[in-house]
Amino acid sequence: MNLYELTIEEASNQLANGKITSLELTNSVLERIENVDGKIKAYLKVLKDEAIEQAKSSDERRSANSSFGPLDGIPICLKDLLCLKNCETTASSNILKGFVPPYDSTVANKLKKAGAVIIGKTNCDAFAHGSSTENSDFFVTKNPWDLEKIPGGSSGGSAAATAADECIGSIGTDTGGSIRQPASLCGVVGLKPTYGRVSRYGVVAMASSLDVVGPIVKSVKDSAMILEAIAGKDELDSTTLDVEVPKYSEKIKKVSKIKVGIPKEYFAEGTDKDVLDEINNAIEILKKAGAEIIDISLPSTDYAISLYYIIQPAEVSSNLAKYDGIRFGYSTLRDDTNQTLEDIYFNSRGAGFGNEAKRRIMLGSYVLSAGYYDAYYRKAMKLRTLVIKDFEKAFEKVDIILGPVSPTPAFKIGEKTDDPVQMYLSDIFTAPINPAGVPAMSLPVGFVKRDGKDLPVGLQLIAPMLGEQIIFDTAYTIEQELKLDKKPQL
Amino acid sequence: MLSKDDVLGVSKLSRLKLSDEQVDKFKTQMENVLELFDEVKNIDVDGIEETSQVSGLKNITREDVVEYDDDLRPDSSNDLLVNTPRRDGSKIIVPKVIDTK
Repeated sequence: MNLYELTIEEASNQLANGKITSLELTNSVLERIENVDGKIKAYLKVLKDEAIEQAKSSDERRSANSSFGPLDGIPICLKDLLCLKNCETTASSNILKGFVPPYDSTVANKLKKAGAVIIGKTNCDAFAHGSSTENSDFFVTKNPWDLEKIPGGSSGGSAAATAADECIGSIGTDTGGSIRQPASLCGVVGLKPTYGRVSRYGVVAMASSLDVVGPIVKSVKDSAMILEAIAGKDELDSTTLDVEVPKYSEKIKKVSKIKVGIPKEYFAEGTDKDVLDEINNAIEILKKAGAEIIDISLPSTDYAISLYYIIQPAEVSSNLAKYDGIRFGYSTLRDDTNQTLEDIYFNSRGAGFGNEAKRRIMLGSYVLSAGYYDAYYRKAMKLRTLVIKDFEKAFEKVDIILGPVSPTPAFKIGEKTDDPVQMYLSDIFTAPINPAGVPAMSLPVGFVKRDGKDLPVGLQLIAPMLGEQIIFDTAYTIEQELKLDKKPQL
Repeated sequence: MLSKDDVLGVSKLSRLKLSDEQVDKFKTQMENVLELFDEVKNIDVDGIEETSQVSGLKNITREDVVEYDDDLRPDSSNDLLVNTPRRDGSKIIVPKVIDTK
């Protein structure tokens, strides 16, 4: 087995018992990137020299018996939404091209302090606006299972890098499915934690009442290991919850007598039949383990995508107002000092933002504008209450909810780029989760054949607020039974 | 449905300069998205409270003390301004906005 194929757990054990060094592991991953990233294009930037330095420091710590813990020496990549001190951070957008943050995001900083080797920054849809990584202002990332297909998005670079073994683990962000959907389409594990569980300080904001940061990794245990390293209250993000972070990875155990809710809306017409077969297979596994399967209904699913695509652009339009060409980012002021203040705003934003960012800013301005605020935005905030109540009601009867992540396997590059509505509908099962704030995971459960290639299918597990442990336990039960070990041929 | 003026109005609110071609394209695409929202029009939400965020937290305060940290909170205003397009030392240069004439 090549070192780059290791999971975090495996690599951590081998580092701990002296079987490998972080330098060997890091070099193996760097070599893998060199060999396959020309095809996948997951990385915007590979931090080769810095990674080697960090790996050497990690090995020195270990030989001095002062290792920082289980993540010490593990190569991890970050979605380019996360600021890393003195390293260009662009959110895959032209307007932030050349932006070098003078500080770390809390998550990057926590990973560094845990000894992780930050190996690079990954591609995504610009400002995380998208479900395919085609909205990156730089280039499209390919799905490692079929290079003609999208990897999903917006955290497509992190998911593709993980699936192609171009890292040991990665970090993504999720506003309406941006961790879960690419994880599903690339066949890796992606966790959207509870809203407020992980700090967003230093993370380029998309929609602040929905955004969360979480792991995209190769195993359930790995997702627990990352979450316990990055979660927790942060003074620099006042939305973080002051709730102790459990040692999820040590507590993981198989489930037996749990109540699993199957929402009928997630199994209705419109979802690919082969995808549903794989989901049903996972349900059988839980049944055999002793779980009680209970039919439930989440009626709000039918309109949740609309309320999501009202609230999210509204918050986007507000968050992206800071790109004014005056303080940072792309600015026409750099070359032409003979402009009015308004000229600078209009010209810098007009040239700096890509089409999807422009669409969302305008939609957001529209639903927030006088005359439409009540019909759209205020209504959406009320519908959001109904979505929350739907989940609360469901969780009175069940411990966990199960369904597909994406209604289809990965689609072709270019298929939906000019049809925003079709693109938005690919978030139909993931977008309702964020307005409710509850945690959810995408777990790989099988493959479907499309165009002669195996394409991964992800199962979504949804738990009540702060219910990450039951997600880990349920996912672990399925993962240990399925033992999927297929890898993309690259 | 949206008129071209609606789109231009929104682009003005959004401080976005658009080409004529973009105005036409966005008009159709925004119409399609707004059509998707039609499904919420008939849902009765009378008497339902609004939710703006789900953390349940409010009024998070701390002591008004300046704290620095090399990696998370750099202490030099110079560091924070490295990305500013035009500046004079620690001052950001902007065009004149008030004419005194």
